[in-house]
Amino acid sequence: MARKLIAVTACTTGVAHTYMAEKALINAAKEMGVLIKVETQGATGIGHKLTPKDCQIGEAVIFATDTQVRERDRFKGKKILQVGVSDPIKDAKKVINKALAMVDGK
Amino acid sequence: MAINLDKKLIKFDLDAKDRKDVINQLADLYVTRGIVRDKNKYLDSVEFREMQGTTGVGDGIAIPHGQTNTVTKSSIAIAELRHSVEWNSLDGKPVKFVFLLAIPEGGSKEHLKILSEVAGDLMDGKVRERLRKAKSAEDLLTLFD
Repeated sequence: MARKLIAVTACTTGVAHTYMAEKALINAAKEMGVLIKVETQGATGIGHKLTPKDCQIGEAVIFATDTQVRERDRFKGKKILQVGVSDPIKDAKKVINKALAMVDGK
Repeated sequence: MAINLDKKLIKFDLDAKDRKDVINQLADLYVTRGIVRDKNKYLDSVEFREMQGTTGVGDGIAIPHGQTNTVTKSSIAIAELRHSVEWNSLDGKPVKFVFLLAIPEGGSKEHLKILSEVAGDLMDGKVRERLRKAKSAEDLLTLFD
C-alpha cells in the first residue's frame, strides 16, 4: 500500500516559496509513489486545506514553513517533521524520505 | 488561469554585472511602466526579502520579490542573463534566469494567485526545459502557455 503524507507550506511573503515548495513536494511524491496532500498557507489564504480526515490518514505531517503554522491544533498528536520552506525546493525527495523514516522510527 | 506576461517586462540577453545590477535594471522597467512609483523603496523591499533567505531556487533560476505600497499592480519581470551571476542559490549554482515579482500591499487576490502560479510552474520540469531552450524574449513570453 502506498505511503501517505500530509504537508503544510508557508513563507514570509506568502506568494512565491510557499507554492514552489508545494509543487516540489507533489512532484517528488509522485515520482516516489507516495501519496501526499499539501496545504498552502499563503497571502491569498489557505489552499487545499487539510481536513480532519486528511490529518487522520497522513502517517506524518511535514511543516515546510518559515512562519507560524495556522490552525496547528489539527495536527495534535501527529508526527511532525519541521523543515524550512526552502528545503523541499532544494531536495523534496530528501524531505519526504526523512518524514517516512521518522514514521518508521529510523 | 492564464498567465499574461508583458513583453515590455522581459529582457533577453541582459548584460548585468551582479545580482543587484539585475534587480536594478528590471526595476527600471517597472518604473518606466508605472508599476513602481518609488524605485528605492521597492529595491529596499526586494533586498529585505533576500536577506531573509535566498531566492535563488536552484537550476539557474532566481525569483526575487518585493512587497510594498509603492507597487501599483502585481507584476512579473523576466531577465535572461548574458552572463550568469552569483545568487547564493540553494544548489550553489549561479543564476541565468531571473523572475522579479512586484507585489502591492493588499493587492487583488486574483493577481497574487497568478504570481504564485508562476512560482509553482517554475518547479515543473517541462517549464525548466523550455526555459533552457529559450532563444528570444518571445520564447519567454510563451513560457507558461
